[in-house]
Amino acid sequence: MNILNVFSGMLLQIFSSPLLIVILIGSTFLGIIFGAMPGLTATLGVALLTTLTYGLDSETALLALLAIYVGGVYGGMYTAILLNIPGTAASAATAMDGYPMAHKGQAGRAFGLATTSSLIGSLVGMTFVALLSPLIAQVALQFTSYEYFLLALFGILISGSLTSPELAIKGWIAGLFGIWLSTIGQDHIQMYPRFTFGMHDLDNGIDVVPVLIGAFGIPQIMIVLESKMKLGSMNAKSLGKLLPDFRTMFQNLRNIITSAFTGVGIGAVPGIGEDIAAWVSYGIARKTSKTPEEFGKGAPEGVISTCVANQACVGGAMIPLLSLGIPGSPPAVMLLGALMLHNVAPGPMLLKSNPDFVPQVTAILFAAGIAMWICGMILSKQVIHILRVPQTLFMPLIAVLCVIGSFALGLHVFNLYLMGIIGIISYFFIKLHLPIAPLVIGVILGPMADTALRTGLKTTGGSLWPMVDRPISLVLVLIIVAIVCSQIPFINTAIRKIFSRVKNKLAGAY
Amino acid sequence: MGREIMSNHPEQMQESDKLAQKTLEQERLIGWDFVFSIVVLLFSVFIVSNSLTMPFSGTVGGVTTTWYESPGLLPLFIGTCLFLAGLSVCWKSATENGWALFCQHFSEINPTGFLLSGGGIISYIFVFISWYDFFLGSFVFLLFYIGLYYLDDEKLSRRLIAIYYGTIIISVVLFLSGVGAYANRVVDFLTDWILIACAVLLITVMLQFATRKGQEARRKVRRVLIISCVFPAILVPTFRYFLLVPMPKEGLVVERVMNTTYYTYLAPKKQVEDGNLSDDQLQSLDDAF
Repeated sequence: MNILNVFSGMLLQIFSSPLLIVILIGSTFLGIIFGAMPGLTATLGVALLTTLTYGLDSETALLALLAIYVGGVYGGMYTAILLNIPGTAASAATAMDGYPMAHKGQAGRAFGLATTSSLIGSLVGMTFVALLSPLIAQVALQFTSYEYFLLALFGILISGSLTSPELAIKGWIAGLFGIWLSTIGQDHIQMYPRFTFGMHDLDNGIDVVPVLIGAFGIPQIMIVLESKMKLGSMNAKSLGKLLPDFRTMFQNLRNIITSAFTGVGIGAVPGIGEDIAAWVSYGIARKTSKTPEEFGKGAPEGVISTCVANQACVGGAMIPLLSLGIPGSPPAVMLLGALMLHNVAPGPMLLKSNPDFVPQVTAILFAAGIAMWICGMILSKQVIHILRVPQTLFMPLIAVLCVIGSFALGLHVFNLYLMGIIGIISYFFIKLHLPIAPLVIGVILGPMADTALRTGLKTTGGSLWPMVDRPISLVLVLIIVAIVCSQIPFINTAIRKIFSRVKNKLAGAY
Repeated sequence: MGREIMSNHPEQMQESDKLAQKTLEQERLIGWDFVFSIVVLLFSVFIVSNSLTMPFSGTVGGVTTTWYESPGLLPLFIGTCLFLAGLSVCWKSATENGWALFCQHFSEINPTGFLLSGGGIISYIFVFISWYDFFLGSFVFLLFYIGLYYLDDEKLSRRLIAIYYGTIIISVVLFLSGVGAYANRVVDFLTDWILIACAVLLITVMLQFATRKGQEARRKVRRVLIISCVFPAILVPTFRYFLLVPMPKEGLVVERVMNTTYYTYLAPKKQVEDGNLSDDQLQSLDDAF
């Protein structure tokens, strides 16, 4: 009952304040622009807005940041449907059927379906945040230092494996590099300076926000400008009338439920973004469809499943962030950085000391979902007008915003140098097919891993036995070992051989 | 049948071209993986050797350390993991002829795109932001960067690059030799005039280009000039006076023009109120500061 009171109280507070409504709608609209413009991402949007929210109270800042996150994930479908160029990686799957629908003259219908599906996904994700976060946080309160260390390690490994499918080890290298970056500066227990090279600017360690802006912003600007990407012409009139098409939505109820669960589940895995959620749910929708041959030719099911999963993933990503302090997706990494700036440290202790936090976040997600739907249904044509601005004109301005954004948070020019260096390193990472998500997750989770490992060892007098003594840590150890072994060729081959022998024997027995 | 084969032929060609391109990219990546793994191995050796210099036992600075409390523990763990990961990538790449593929494709590397896009941003951060007025630095950077990519003309680009990097070289020489700092001590913000000169040159070159190329180019150049000027003109006051964020460097424009204008004419005036404070209250007020 108390949760509902806090939830409704927060909603009332948002919708009764003209300023908060302006912030909500403005941030959502900005998010849609960031999502829709190829090259700009929801993560970059959250990163740049963080600077502007520094002077706001934490609730208003969270409202602005979650609104731009939700808007950014949704906005990607604009160019995906109209031009077959996904605005974000998350909307690549939407282009599969959205673009053929637009080609058939059903752009308005595709937009309506995508917008309403996104709202449903957002609401489902929000529900899971409200239900699961307190439960997981309750369990997490039982965690010891070793579990936190293993959780951080698991987060980096799983994120590295899934974001670098060609060679998972490259993803792990990115994650390990991120942890190394986090060890720069005086350590938190003995204040011993590590890897500072005599530079006093590094004594306090590196600020997270410039690293995140550098990692996500600079390489993106460079790559887009190098490619001299030009968008095709977009006509706002071609959009026609936007229709929510509730009948089609109702007919796809099962598809919606499956996609929402897929989105939440994938979102909850550390570091895995909306793109994977969208593709997996697209695959499931296709497999379970009665007319799979229609997929790729303008099937509304394809658009619905991807958009529901995209937005449900936002909620999913918030679950580990709120309950464990581990971000579920790249924009959630940025959100964690922003919350830290506002002296809010998500995790089980926060939910214990401030139990209203989860219902407040849930209410903000709800409000952001509604704002996204309203912006999507009313302001779509305006978005298309803005998208006509060439990228070559837009990207240099983003570079200036990155610079002032990195500087504004600490007022250190050194942060700008750091941003520049990390930006160039990230550029090479992208060129070498190394994912950026594990790197930034490593930077975020590094301090937790360091402190947890040493505290755990200190508590047990240097014994690692409690790592396999407790059920949760044992499960984590087994998962980590399995992830690592899956990348060692001879172990992988041996396991496959064992499985095939067992299978053959079982087949022989029957 | 023959017509069908004919009509399929270009598609098949396109498919095979795509396949060849993919294979080529794969080969390049394997070659780069080999070099990357060597870098990772060297980097991991550096981490391990550096972390071994950190206290693992004994008393350092009054703090007694055992191996499991050592600040070098996590770096050692990371270094070891990175070494193993690097070794694995190196081995995989070496079995696929990584070194040979790298040597084969090395001559195809064209760093122009990276040097222009990355060089622009890096020079903006390390030179303009560090030494010049933020407004002027951003204005010149935007003129150059937008002009380079948006106007997209080879001859113009060459001239823009010459002017921009010429300014960068002059700045580096001036400031590293100490002449820049001396000049600014003699006359306030004297070096900011270098950027103004650079901006005038960039604008002149663009206007020449616009006159030569006609209506469309004139429209584009006008757009570049307006955006390059208006964007920092909005951004700086927003951060400086609304978010109260001082600029990294305030000079000829931010300090002399904006701050003077704002604090003289626009800033809310300080209100002084007469207060009847007792001696004790005045004393406490003094103590507070």
